[in-house]
Amino acid sequence: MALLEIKNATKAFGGLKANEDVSFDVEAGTIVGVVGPNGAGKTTLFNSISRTHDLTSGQIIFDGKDITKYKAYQACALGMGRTYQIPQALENMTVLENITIGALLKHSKVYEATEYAKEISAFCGLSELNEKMASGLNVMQKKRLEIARALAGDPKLLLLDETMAGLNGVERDEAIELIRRINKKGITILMIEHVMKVVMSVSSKVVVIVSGKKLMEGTPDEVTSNPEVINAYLGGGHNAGR
Amino acid sequence: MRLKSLIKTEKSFVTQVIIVFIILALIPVISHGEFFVSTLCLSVIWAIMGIGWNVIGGYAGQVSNGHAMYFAIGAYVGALGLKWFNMTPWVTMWVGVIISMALAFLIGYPLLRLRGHYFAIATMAIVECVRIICTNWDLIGGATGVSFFQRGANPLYTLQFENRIPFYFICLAFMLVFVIVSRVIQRSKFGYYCRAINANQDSAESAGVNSTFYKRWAYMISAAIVSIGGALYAQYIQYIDPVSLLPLSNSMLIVLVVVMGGIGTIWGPILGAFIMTFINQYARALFNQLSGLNLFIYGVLCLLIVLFIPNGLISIFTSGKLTRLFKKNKSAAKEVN
Repeated sequence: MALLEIKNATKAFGGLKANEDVSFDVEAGTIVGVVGPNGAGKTTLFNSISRTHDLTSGQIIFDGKDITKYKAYQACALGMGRTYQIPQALENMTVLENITIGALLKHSKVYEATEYAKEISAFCGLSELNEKMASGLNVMQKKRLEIARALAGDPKLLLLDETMAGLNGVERDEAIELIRRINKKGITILMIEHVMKVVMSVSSKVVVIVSGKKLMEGTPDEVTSNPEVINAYLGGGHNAGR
Repeated sequence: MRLKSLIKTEKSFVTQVIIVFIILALIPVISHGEFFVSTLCLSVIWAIMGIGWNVIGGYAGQVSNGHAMYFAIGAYVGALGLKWFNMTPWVTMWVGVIISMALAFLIGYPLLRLRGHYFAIATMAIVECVRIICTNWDLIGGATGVSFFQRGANPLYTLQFENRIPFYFICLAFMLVFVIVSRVIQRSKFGYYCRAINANQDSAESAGVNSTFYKRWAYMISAAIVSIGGALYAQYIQYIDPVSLLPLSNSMLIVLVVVMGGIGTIWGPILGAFIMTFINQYARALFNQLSGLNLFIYGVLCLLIVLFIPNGLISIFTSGKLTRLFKKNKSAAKEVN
């Protein structure tokens, strides 16, 4: 059974339909990539899934439950963690405290949560920064911090919104390695990504969204060889990711 | 065993509590002029209110400009209970707490959905409504207020002391309780979640924080503590009316006490309250021909603090500026050697 099912999701802001009739499944244990040109409605879709805002119509089924009317914190309690495209760290708290906030979801005692947060921090390679204020981190560190905070809540599904944007080659390889390690723990990942190389290398399925609609879904190879995708995503005459 | 480890982790807090409260308890022994001790009592009452406001305004970051309402509820319930039913404030203060929390629940339900300035303005509007209601409600004294001094009664029953010193110690005991409450909140899941909401509400929600729930509880706890402050104030002043309890300036002073002392800290509200009250009282006594000068002096001081020490006066002690200065001199001396 699919961990996450999105059924005919439509989200309209006034007259503008940011998402129209999008449907796809995310199987448990996989890494699924969502790609599409700027403004295609990927983040809007993420916000709908993580319950930051309500769908205009359609359904979201997570882990067998219809969460279409849930609030963000309820979805999180069910096991859905997310990061933001523009990192939303809790700026005036330390790195460890940020992760502790995530850990408090499953550990209601602060000292237990802090201990668990330390483990997660080490797992994400943030240990040296534990006592630093989140406002003093650079973009890459903030993105890692967001992943760590989401992980601390022991999610079943992790939504990653452009964790690679703005990273250089070495940082990107580290991030890919982290994503693989998270997936190995049994956590399903749904990621929005602009960097094609990343999507192609880690995901087992890719969903292409163009102008708010799903253009196609398939394996990375199927997607990159589809002429329609190449046209929409990169413009004519290019060969994606090859 | 559990207690031992708790004391161990809270060592610095426990030391701070002991030092501060010993100093505060010794002050009236050294100087016990009537005016001085009165000012001390008033300072502690303001400190209690500051601690209360700090829960919603400091920890949860929702700036309420209407906390004079809970102050007034505490005062009115205490005063009317004593006047009408001859009930001791020891009981009525908890009645006031329950009423305040119930009202905070009802008001918080719609208002806490508002964010930032809108919440601040809405709370301000509500306290104005309450002031007008109290001014026109003859049953509770209307504009003339309630006078409820009980001559010859047992001061431990009415909390009305001729000698202020016992009353000062009662207020101190309450302050001690609320300092501990404040610390427990700060160290608990509740406090962590409040700080997360303060830092970034959307982000907190996606990390699993039910922001409505935590904000509402922070608001209710805050109202309860301020209400106790009001109950103590009523027995201290022994005469209450809407003009002295519910002006906008009272709501603002609660906020300023905390901002000046150090928002979101344990000791900030207390430091702020003592400074504010002493300046207010002594400026009023010194310049009694110029009414309002006390607030002017206080206003200027606030401005200077907000400009130059934006984290509040307490940050002078906690930010390590003092120790850093000291260490710098030491290391400089070492380098010379």
